[in-house]
Amino acid sequence: MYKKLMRLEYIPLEDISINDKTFCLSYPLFDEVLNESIKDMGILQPLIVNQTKPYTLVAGFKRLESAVSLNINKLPCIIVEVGQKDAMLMAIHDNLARGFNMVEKALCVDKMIQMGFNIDEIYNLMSIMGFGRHESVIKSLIGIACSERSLKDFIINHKLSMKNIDYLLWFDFQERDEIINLLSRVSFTDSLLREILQLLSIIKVKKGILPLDELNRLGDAYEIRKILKRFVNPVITSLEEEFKRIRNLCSFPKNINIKIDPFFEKEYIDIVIKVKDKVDLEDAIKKIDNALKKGYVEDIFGITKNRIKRDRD
Amino acid sequence: MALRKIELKEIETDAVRACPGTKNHICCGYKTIDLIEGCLLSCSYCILKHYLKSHEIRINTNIKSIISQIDKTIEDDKHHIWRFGTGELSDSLVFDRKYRLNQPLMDYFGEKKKALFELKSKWAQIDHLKPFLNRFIVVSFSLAPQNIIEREERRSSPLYKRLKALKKAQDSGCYVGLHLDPIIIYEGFEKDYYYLVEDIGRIIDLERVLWISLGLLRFPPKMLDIFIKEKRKNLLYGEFTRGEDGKYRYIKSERIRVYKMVYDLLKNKNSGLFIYLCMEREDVWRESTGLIVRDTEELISFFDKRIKDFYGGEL
Repeated sequence: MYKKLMRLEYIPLEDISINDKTFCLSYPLFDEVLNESIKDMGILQPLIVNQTKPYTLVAGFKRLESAVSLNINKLPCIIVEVGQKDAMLMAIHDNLARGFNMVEKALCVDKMIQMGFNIDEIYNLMSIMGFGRHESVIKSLIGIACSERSLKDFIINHKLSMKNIDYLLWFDFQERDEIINLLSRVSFTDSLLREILQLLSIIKVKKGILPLDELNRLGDAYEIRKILKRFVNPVITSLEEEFKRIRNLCSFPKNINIKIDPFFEKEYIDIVIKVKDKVDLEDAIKKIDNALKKGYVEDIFGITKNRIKRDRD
Repeated sequence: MALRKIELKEIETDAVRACPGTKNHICCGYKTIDLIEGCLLSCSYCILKHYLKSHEIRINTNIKSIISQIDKTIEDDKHHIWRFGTGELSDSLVFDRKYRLNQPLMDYFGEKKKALFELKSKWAQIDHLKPFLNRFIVVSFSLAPQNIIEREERRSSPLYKRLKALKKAQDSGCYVGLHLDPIIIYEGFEKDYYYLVEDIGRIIDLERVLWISLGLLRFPPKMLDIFIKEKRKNLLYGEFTRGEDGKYRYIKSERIRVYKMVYDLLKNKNSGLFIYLCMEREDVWRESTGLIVRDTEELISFFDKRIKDFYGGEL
């Protein structure tokens, strides 16, 4: 691939175009651990520069960043003489082994597109990076590469899945910024985040605005989900609450459990009784009979029909 | 939008199938003919986008094989009067004027006289078919308020053209079918459905409507993201739950309310109409129509009776 032989030299910092980020695939650029390592041991792995005047950095942007911050004047560099596309491939493959984060993967694809790589070359790299060969994935990756710093940082800090990134990219910049601010204050799993973002998206489509003021008062991701669910599924939320209320009124011991279809579709309910002897069973039957007499079981059947007692009262 | 490739191919495949139905819901026992896979109309809620993996539209030109499969299906089970249709994986009419796909099938059903062939469409072009229409062909149109057609079925024919095409089919001696499916809950939909039923009653001879299906919007979970992405406010307006088949549906109480509303509107126009719910639960049937339909077999027997009432000894 490389037309010219490579040679190793120590190059003064001022001979390198440090502001040229054409081949930069590192995000974030500053790496605390690497910085400490370079401080102690110096630059052990040479940078790669292209034979231009000044030299164009191809790989080693993080090392360069540390060198600048540590006032290192001469850097070990492998000098190559290659065209732009080959330089880009060198930059990618030099970093592939260490593993790219999501933003860096997006930068790779975005830069390949900008440099005119054909679609098969891009798909091949995407396959290596673990992505499906699909136009929609490319679109998402370009979205990430072009996104604001706050989103990039959020993606990396929370190791967001592509699904959640797609949800965030769907919002406009200002909404996204507010959502990131809201979610940066709470802990969440990827699936909980997905639920929250999906609910927020539905609210946005339905109402045109997001209830962020109300959400900003909350300090827990589960609370946020609860409020959002109430916006999107008011009836189901009421049915859930009503079921919980009636179940509490039944005050069954742990060996009796009443279950209902969580989607309130099925007409039947499950009553599970765990007993170890006749006395246990008689006791359980008595408690269920009591709940029947008080009308609680009938109320639960009402819930399966999507009816709430207070509506009937 | 990119142009879609249309591939015509003679395929030896199982093209005649029982409608796959949906888990724990009552199906009408329809027989589908996979003559075409894919559709040009691209309605926003269409689940073909989810079902069919290929972007291409595939037309099976092996009519001889398809007819022999239909024949076998009819001969294998003579307990029922089967209804066949090509409108499951595509629109029955959207390609028909160009490719003339339905004519040999229509001829077959006209000669066989043992089953019905339904052309189910949103594409109101039937003039080219008029010379071939016979009593065993049911011309059906999916009907929705013009508001919804303009927003969610943008490539299909407007309501007045669909109603006009139905009238033409009736004038040619055919019975027709109406499919109010999907019924979409959006702001003010009640008024729009009221006027839709008014238009139906004004333009079509309700005495010659063989069946009417009602089906509220339902979709596989993956479609939810498509609706969000495309900001489909109408489609996301209602409150959804997950059915036993895993699909999103409007919550049960809403489905009952809306089915009852549309059912009553139609029945008030003509109490003799045969109206069925597409893929619904027994309790929803009971609460919204007052009918006890315990399972698919029972619904199929309702169809048998309806068809016998219309065709007498002809079938």
